[in-house]
Amino acid sequence: MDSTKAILESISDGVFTVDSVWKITSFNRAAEEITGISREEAIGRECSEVFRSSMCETACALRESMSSGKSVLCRYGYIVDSDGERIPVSVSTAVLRDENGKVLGGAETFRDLSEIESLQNQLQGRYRVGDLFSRSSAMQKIFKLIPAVASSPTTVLIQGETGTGKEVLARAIHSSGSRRDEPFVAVNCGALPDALLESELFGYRRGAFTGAVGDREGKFISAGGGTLFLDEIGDVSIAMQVKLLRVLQEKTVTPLGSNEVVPVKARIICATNRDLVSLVESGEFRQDLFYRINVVRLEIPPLRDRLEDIPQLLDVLLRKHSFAQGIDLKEYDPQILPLLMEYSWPGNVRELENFVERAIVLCAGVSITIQDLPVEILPRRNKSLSVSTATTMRGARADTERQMILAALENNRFNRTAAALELGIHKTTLYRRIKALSISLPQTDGRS
Amino acid sequence: MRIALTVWNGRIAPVFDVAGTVRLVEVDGEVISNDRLVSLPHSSGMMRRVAALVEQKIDVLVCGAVSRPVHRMLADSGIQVHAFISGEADEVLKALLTGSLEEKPFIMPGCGMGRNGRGCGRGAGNRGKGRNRGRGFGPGRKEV
Repeated sequence: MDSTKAILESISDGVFTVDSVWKITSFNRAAEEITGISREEAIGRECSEVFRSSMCETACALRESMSSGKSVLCRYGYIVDSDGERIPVSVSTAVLRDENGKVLGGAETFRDLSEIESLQNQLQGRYRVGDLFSRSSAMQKIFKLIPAVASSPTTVLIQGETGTGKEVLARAIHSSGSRRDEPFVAVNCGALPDALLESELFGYRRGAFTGAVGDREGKFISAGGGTLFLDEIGDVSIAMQVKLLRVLQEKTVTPLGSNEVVPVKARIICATNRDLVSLVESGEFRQDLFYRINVVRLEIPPLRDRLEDIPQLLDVLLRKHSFAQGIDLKEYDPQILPLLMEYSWPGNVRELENFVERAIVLCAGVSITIQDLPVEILPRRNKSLSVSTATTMRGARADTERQMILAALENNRFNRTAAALELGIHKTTLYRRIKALSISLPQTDGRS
Repeated sequence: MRIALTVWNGRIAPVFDVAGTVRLVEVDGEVISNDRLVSLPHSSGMMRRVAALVEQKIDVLVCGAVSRPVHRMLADSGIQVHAFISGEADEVLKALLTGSLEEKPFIMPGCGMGRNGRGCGRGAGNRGKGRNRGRGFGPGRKEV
């Protein structure tokens, strides 16, 4: 008996036992350490008021064991310790009986998983820089470059399709380096006409032009020693490119209507979704400016090339938007994953984010299911033909023909003439094939 | 005064974060004018849980263990929280109305205010985040 006690005291799993009315009868050293409750205080108290786990009310493993007589292994939940800290635990339970087999109570062992959880979080950290998450090898290469890029003052060019997260990457670079406490200023160069962009970037003095009633600091200056992010740099006019080149070369700006030369200390990060090399070739982008900004080039792959990130992005975005909208954390039905991974995501992560935001608003249940997917993500049933199960050549041909005819008819709301046109056959041939393949058609014919 | 008690099997529910039922009691002076049970949906998010209580215009909440962020949310919504309370709901309510709730029989184990207790939830959110902060087992407070 003493050796059993010694073993119980030495193991790192918490162990406690209860009698038939749920009062704690023993409480080992590890249980004291994990819960923060001393044995003296625990013994004789209600099990649920000592253990205080998320499982007590609805999923008590011990209750299950005591009613079924069977052990429960590794159920996961958390306990709330005396500091109000949630401690993740796994529990296992067994029934205690006397020599006649009568149930005396139960025993529960529990393991503190906070260490494991923090290790998992560290592991997750490897796939995360700032607000960027990725497991794909192309993104991992970028993640590895970020510390070096962040600590140097060099100009960075970020290329990537729309919605891939160019600004998110720019922010990650900004906040990983010594400039993190300085401002991050973003300007969308494609959205503004030249005159506005010029006053936005360089600033102006009072009276520089009609309407300039006061001084205005340009973004090059207001970025201070931080980062100026110039988005859509590929959409800037040739005239504006010359002015930008001058600033980048001389590291100074002259506000409109002023003779004063102000030094620029901010690091410049440019981004574009256009192919600058071909713009240079076609003469739409100045070669000298291209070389000036193309010092370090980071290329963000489109979402369709890093489909492995979709599950994690979904988790992160669901948490973000559920929290932002102040509603319960939604889950997703695993059945939607293959559909999401088949879709090409032309709008990339932004499109995925919009999808999540929309789904959270529209989904009435706890979980986002196929019903909540927008039509463009749903598989185009009538465009892809399923594989025929026929064993003979003739049978397979008839199956395929039947599927194509049905698809064309559905596409054209059963208008035979339009369906025949789509199939590239004559209307009469279509009628003949429908009859030969005994395809049943609805009463409506799509003409009305 | 409107009082909410999270209850389970006639006792204060062990963990507020997952409690399924709230007992809402309206008290005029010392007379109970209304007493009913309301369910808090399971799987309900913490913000909604707190919002549900705020909607009921609760002045005082009596509950069992509560995790620190939720405790802070409750306190920030202007609800007076008596957390880490255990015992039969009727007795707890009586003790609350007579001002004896902070006495030993109602305090959850590990939460006494004595030399070795940590006064769980009192001043929630102000302590450090370290898991073992304030821990340690002395001989334990002697039973009075």
